[in-house]
Amino acid sequence: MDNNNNKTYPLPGVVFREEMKSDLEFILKDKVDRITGTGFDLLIELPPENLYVVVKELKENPRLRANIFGGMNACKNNKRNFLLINLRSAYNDLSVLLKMEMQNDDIETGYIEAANILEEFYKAAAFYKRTSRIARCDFNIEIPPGILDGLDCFDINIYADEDKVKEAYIDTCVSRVLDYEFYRDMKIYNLIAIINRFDWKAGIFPELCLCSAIEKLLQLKPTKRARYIRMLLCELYRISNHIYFILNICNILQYDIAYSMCHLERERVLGLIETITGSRVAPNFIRIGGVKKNIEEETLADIRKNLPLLFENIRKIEKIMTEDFLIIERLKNIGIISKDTALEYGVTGPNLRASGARNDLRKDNDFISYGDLSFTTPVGREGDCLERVIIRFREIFQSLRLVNQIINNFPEGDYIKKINLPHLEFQPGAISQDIECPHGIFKIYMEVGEKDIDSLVIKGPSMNSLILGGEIIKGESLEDIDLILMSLDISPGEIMNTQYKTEY
Amino acid sequence: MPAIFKSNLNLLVTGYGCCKQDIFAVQGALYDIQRFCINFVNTPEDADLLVVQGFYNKEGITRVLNIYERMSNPRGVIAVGTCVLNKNLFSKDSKLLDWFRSVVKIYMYVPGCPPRPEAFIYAVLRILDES
Repeated sequence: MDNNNNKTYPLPGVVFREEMKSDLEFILKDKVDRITGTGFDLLIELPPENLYVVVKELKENPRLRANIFGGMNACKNNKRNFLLINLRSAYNDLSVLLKMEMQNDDIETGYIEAANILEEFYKAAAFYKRTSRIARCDFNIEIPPGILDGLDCFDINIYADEDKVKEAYIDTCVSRVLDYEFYRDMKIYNLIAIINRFDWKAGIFPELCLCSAIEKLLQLKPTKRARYIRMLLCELYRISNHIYFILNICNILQYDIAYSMCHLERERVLGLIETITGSRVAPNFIRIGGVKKNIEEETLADIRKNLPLLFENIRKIEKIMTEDFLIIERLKNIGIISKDTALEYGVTGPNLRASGARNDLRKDNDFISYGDLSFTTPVGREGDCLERVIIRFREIFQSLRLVNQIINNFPEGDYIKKINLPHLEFQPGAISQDIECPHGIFKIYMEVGEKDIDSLVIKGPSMNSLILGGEIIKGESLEDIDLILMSLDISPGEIMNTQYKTEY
Repeated sequence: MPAIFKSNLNLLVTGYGCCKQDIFAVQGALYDIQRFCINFVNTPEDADLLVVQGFYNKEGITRVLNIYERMSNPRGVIAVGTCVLNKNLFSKDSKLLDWFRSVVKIYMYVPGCPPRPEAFIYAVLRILDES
C-alpha cells in the first residue's frame, strides 16, 4: 500500500483521552503540580525549575514520544504571568500545553531560559533564543522587509558565499507591535470584532475559533443552518486565500497573464463573501451560538451561478501555469521539505500535506459539520515549491465541490440561538480550541473568569512555517529566497503575535 | 502635487497590515489603476508618493522615515486606514499620526478599516485633480 495513504499523523483531541491523562499522572507525578484536560489538549502546570526533567521525559519516554515542537508564547497581564509551551506527538494522540507561572519581572529572563532548555531537544526552539544566535556568525547581506503581503513582516540576515546562502537568520523585530494586554477592558463582542485581524488573509477563522471555544465552555451547539453558513464562509475564504497565494507567486515570477486572471477570480469570490457578510476583509460575522445574519435564497442562487465560472477560470489558470515549462523549471526542486522535517518543526496545513503527511482537522475531527459532506484531502509527494502550488489548486477545486454540496443541502431553521450576552456567566477555567485555517492549525488558549476573559493566547500556524523557512533557504541561491518564503503562505497577522520584545 | 505627475505617478506601499491587500487589489483588471497612469514601484528612489498603512512599532517608524528620506523631491504621503489615522487596534499608546504629521507632509487621509479599493483610487485621483 502506498505510504501516503497511511495515516501517520493522528491529530490531538479526537476524543478526550482519560487513559493518556492517567499515564501522564503516573509518569510525571512528583514533578508537576496538576494535569487537567482543556478541550483539545492536556494542560500540565509545572514549576519552572522542573522544565528540563519534564521535557526530557516527554521526549524520550517510549509511551509518550512528543517529537513536535508547536511553539512558545508568553502571556502577561494584571492577574497572572505565564509561559505556554505546546508539544505534540506524531506517533500517538498526545498534545500537551506546559504552563509555567512566573513573577512579573521574571518572565523575560524565564523566556530565554526556557528556550535554552528546549533547544537541547527541539531544533525549532532555537528561533526563540534570539540574542546569542546573532552574535555567532557575521552576516554579509541584510534583506529588509519586502513589499508583498507575507514577506513584509521580517528581516533576513544572510551569510552568503557567492550566490549560495550558507547561514540565514530571520528577525521579526518590525512585527512586534502587539501589546501584552490588548484584550483588557474589552467585552467579548468587541473582541470578536477585532480578532479577525490576526489572520487578515482569511478573516473568518480567528472569529470562528474564539466563538467555538466560548461555545464549548457554555456547552452550546449552534443550529444546523448556522453550522452550514459557517462552513460555506470557511470554504469561500479558503478559496480566496489560495487564489491570493497563487497571485503572489505569479507576481514574484512576473507571470502577468495568470496574475491578472487571479485578480479577477479573487474579486469574484470576495464579491460573493461581501453579499453574505457585508465586508471584504474583516467579516465580523460569527456570533456565539450562530451567525450575525441569515442567507437569502437570492444569495444562494448567485453563488450557484458563479460556481461553474470559477471552476472553469481557475482550471484555465492551472492549465496555463502547469503547462508552461518556464514556470515548472523555476519552481521545481527548490525549497524541498521532507516529511520528517515538516513534522519536527510543527508545520501544519497545506505545507505539511504537500510533504506527504495526511493531516486535516476537517476530516479527522468532525469540525463544525464536515462529517455530513463527502470529500478527500489532497496529499502531495515531493514537498517542493511546485508541489505546494499544485496542492493549493487541488484544494481550491475541493473547496468548490464542498460549496456545491453545502448549497445543495442547505437546511431550514434558525440561524442563531439567542443568548443574553451582557448577563453571560462562565464556569472559571481554561479552554483551548484548534481549527483548520488555510495556513494550518490555528490555536487559541484562554482562561476565563466569571464574567470575561482573563488571559488569551493566540497562536497561528505561520510562525512554524516561518521558522522552517529560515532553515530551508540554506543552500539555495539568493534569487529563490522570495519564492521559497512566499510558497510557505505566511500570514503576517499571525507573526504579529510574538509578543516578546528583545534587546540587543 | 506638481502637474508633471499627471502623466506618471509612482506609489510605494510601506508597513504591514490588512489594508495592503485592498491597496494591491487596485492593480487587478477590475479596478485597473494603471489606466490613470498610476504605477506601483519597489524602490524609494523611483517613488513620488509614499502610502503609509498598517501597524508600526518604534523600529517601524524609523524605517519609514528612512524610506521617506531616500525619496527624491517633490514627494508626499497618503495615510491609509484607521491604524494610522486614529489609533492602532492592538497597541493602545501608539499615536503614529500626531508624531508623523509634524515631520512629513500628508496629502490625503483615507479612512476605513480597511478602506475599499474604490476609496483608495478616489484619494489618489483627488491628489491628481488638485495638482
